[in-house]
Amino acid sequence: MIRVLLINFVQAALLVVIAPLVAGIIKKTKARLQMRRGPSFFQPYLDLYKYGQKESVVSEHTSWIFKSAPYIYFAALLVAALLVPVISSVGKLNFSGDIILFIYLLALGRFFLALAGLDAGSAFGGMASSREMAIAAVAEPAALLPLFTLAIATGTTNLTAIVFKNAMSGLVLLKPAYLLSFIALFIVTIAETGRIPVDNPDTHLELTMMHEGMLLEYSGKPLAVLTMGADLKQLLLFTLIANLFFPWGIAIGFGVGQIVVGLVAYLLKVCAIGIIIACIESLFAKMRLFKVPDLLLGSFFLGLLGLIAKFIF
Amino acid sequence: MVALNEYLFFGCEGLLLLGGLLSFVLQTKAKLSMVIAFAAASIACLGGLGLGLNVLLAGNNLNLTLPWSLASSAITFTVGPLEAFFITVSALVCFAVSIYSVGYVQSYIGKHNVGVLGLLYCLFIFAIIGLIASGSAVLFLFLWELMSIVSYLLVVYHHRDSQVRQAGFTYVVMTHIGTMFIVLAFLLMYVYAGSFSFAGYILVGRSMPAAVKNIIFLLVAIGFGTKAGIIPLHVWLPKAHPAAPSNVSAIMSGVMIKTAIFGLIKFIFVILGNGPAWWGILLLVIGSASALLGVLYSLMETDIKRFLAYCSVENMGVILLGMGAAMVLARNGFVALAAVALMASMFHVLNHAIFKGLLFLGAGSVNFATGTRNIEKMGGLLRRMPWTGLFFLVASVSIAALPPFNGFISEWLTFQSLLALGASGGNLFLEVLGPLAGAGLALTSALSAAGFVRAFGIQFLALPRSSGAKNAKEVPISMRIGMGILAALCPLLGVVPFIIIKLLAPVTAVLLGVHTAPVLGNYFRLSIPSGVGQHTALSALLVPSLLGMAGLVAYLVVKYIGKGGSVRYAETWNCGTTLTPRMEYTGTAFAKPLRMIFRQIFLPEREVKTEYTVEPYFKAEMSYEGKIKPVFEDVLYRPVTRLFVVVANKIRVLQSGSIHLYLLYMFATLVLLLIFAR
Amino acid sequence: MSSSELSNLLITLTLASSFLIIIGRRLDSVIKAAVVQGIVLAIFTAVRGWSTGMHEMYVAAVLTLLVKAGLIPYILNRVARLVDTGWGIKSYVNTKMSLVICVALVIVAYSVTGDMLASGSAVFARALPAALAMMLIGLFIMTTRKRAITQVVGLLVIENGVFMAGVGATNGMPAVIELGVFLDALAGVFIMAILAFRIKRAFATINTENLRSLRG
Repeated sequence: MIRVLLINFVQAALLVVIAPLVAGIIKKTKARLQMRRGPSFFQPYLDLYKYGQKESVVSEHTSWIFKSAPYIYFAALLVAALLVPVISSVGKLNFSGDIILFIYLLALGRFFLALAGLDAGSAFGGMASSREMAIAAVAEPAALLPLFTLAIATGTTNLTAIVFKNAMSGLVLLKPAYLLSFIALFIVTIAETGRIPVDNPDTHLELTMMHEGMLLEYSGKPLAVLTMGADLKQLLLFTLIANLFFPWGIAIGFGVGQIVVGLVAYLLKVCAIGIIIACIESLFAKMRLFKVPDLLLGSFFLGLLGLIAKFIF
Repeated sequence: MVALNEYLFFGCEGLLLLGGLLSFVLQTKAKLSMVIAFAAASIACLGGLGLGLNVLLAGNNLNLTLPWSLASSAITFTVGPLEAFFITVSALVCFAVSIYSVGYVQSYIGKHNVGVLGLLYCLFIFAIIGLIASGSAVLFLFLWELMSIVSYLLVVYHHRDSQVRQAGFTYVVMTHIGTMFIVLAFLLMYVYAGSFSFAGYILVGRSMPAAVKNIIFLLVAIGFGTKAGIIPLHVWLPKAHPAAPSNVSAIMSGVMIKTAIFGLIKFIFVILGNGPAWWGILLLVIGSASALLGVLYSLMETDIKRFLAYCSVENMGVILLGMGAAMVLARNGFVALAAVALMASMFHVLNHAIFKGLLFLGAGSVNFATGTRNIEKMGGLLRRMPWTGLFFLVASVSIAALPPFNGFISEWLTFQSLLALGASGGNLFLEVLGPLAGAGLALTSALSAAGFVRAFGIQFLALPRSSGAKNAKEVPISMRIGMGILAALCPLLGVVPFIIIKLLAPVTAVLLGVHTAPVLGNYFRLSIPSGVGQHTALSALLVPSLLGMAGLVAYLVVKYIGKGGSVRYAETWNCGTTLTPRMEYTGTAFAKPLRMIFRQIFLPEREVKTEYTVEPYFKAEMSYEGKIKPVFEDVLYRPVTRLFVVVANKIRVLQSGSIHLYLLYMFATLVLLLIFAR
Repeated sequence: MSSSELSNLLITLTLASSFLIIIGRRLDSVIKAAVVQGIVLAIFTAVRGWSTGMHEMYVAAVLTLLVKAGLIPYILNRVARLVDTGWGIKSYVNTKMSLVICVALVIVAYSVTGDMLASGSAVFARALPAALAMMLIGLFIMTTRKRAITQVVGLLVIENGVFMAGVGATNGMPAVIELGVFLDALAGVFIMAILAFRIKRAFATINTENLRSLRG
């Protein structure tokens, strides 16, 4: 029991520590593809340090929601981090929660962040909040349907149990249901992490922003918390995809060797996903906002196909 | 202990009658009559609550027969676990609303007749609790009709406004259409049972021929569905709820529409004993449609109460989802999972009553303080009305089904039951329908989260958009207490949902006809038995504790690491100009992306007019009008009413206004009868 | 002449007076015919009282005389004078046609009541068809006459028919019912009087045909 708890906290801490690094990897890859040298891999850590040194300017029209939203957002993501199996999927972790709780924790963070966007009274924040909530609304069923397919295949919605079962089953991805679900979930990840072709995480222009717009009024330490949170959310989603569909190398027991192998495998998988995302960002242009639901609808139908395929094959 | 139940029941109903009558008699002393009415209602509701809890926890049912008879059928009251649960829900919400009303109705003194309001209010609650407890069909119908008429009178309380009168008319017509179907169902049951008592119905119900059961199911679905407000019978909800005073809207949306769910459950599970799978599938489909369309239409509303009314339509859909899943699962033999689905559905009944009641009370408070219901004229209320804002936020987070509040728990249970449907190993159609409905539920809850970000954000955050909002003040203490009671329940039930699961266990036992009540875990976590032997669990206690700890850790770490951290206040950057309220995002603007995404459903139209001083360079004025097509009214209701009016006009020829013609009718009929009908 | 023969004669006379009402062309002749009917009815009641030995009948006879042959026609005359809209009888159906229809109604009444008279006394056997015929004739008068006053006369005729059936019944009608029926007619007349006056004041006519324009 204690070991289980320890593993969970260690995993969560690992996620928090690694998150900016993955963001840095993506930035570096994009830069290289654009024939630039790009910032160092550890630049995001330096950015966080910089934010931490500055004072924060708060709009005088805001309320306590603006001040507390970063912490609520980050806390929700931290608890979600405790749920996701990272290095090891030790059998019966029944106490924590499942895929539904995971998705809804992300929704909790988003809810308060959207409120904070409206709080300062500027049009940028309002626009970002409205777009974010609209796209997230369409993304949620697209996210949950593949996860439901996996849950039905496994017989439970508990994340660690699903990963454990998939790890035991060998090359899971060859089954059509799993392949389709993977593609669907991948598209949704792009939408949720705010990457091209859905949103541009590098700019603050009103034409292109969704997530960034809600952060526009923040500065100083709260901004550090929010940036950290965004990186953590991105890493969480990558981890989810990596471990649900490619559970190779994940530790099954508590042996030290297994854990080391699991750690290395995990780092490799996540970096690979990051690089692939960076390549997709460089290959495509950002879509018009009103075309994004069509993309997510396509992802939904892929998920539906996966669900039907689960029962036929 | 049996006598205690009877005392509680009589005390509750009797106090309501007495309080109402006294309030009416003393109507000239407005303040006194108001206090009497609402104090009596609160105490009576406490009695009702006690009754419900006594039956559920201690297992003592109430069976009561009064020595009089109503239309040659005896007056009997039967309170089993199912009835006790619904009485508990009703009494709880009405208690909070009654306390709230003491402050709210003060604004009516001098302008309207408060004594009449007190009488109608007490009668309303009297009818609701009475009809849940009634043991015979005649008594049920009598109290149902009383409830409908009293609520109509309450809806048209502000009768000087013509829109209110119109809303009342729509409401009373729709509710009587529903009642007609219910009466038909009861009469059909009477044909087989021979008596009007529910006990008699239960004896006969399961053994009736299948065709008759199907007809009764359809009649009951339409009849109670009209009252519950499911698509496409929902048109009265968005009209009636805004027209009524806010405390009445809270009871209507929180309690009255649940009586329809009660009727539906009682008929389907207790009397008819479940039926073929298509019943459950029909409810699943209707539930999904109501949920989706309800939330979509709610996003387009700028009147806060119409928004909340459409939200109620959505939540009724969610409740029906749970019920439909339960029916299909029970039919296929998965009793434990059907119990989970039923618990999900009824937990949602309780949750919705609590947070929808709270939302309407909050909307009433905002209306009380600002004088308007239009969210585009509000803003910045959180700093002016901190408590109301906090309570409204709690309700919004709950209804958006976000952890760790109670809405998430019932939604989680519903998801689990829909997934169980998918894993139930029946035919392919069902297996796909379950997760698909789950995806639909996810869409609904995400859209409702968007809707409440909009509702809360535009009303309470940023700058006030009108003088009414700017001068708003916090509401009186009694209103805050009423709201606070409900608001405290939301996190409480989210953290320890097992309290409710324990209360629901005897209810599901009765409904599914099993002897042992299903137990879903303990105080620390809920666990669902899944078909494949694995358990799925949710630790309701752990999640909020983890959230709290994580938040604290984050805050502390951030506070003490790094040199920065001082806060400076400044004006919001607005590209160099001063920020005015007109630059803020409006509610309509917030909903625009959704309006575009779902334009096939909304069919929006817009009209932009421009007036020029010097064409085309200098604009004097621009006006924008946008609207969405009210699909149900155009496609369904208007043609039907037009048909009725055409037919009525044809028949009207008979009514010529001439006395002689009428006498001639009588005369001719008399002579003909004398000659022919011997 | 035995009492039953006298009774039959009086019944026939009452029915005949209804025909007098039908053929009347002026308002005062109609009212006079109503007076005649009342008198005949009173005599009939007295004869019945004498033949059955029930003393309430004498009281009823006196009442009938006073009210139906006295008070009500007086009120009707007063109203006709006050309202002053002319003495002609306006009707939808002309006199000859009315006569034919009333004869048909009498035939209908007699044929319908044929089965019902297996039991009962001979006087009742005569009285009931006549009473039914009077009721139908009274209804016919109400249906076809346009003026409010004449419609009230029709009501009176119906009333008289009911009364005659009650008087002709073997044991007579209970006093309460008789009184009730009386008061009914009296009230009707009073109301008509008041209303006619007021309607005339408001609309300058008591032609009920004009009420058609009030329909919604």
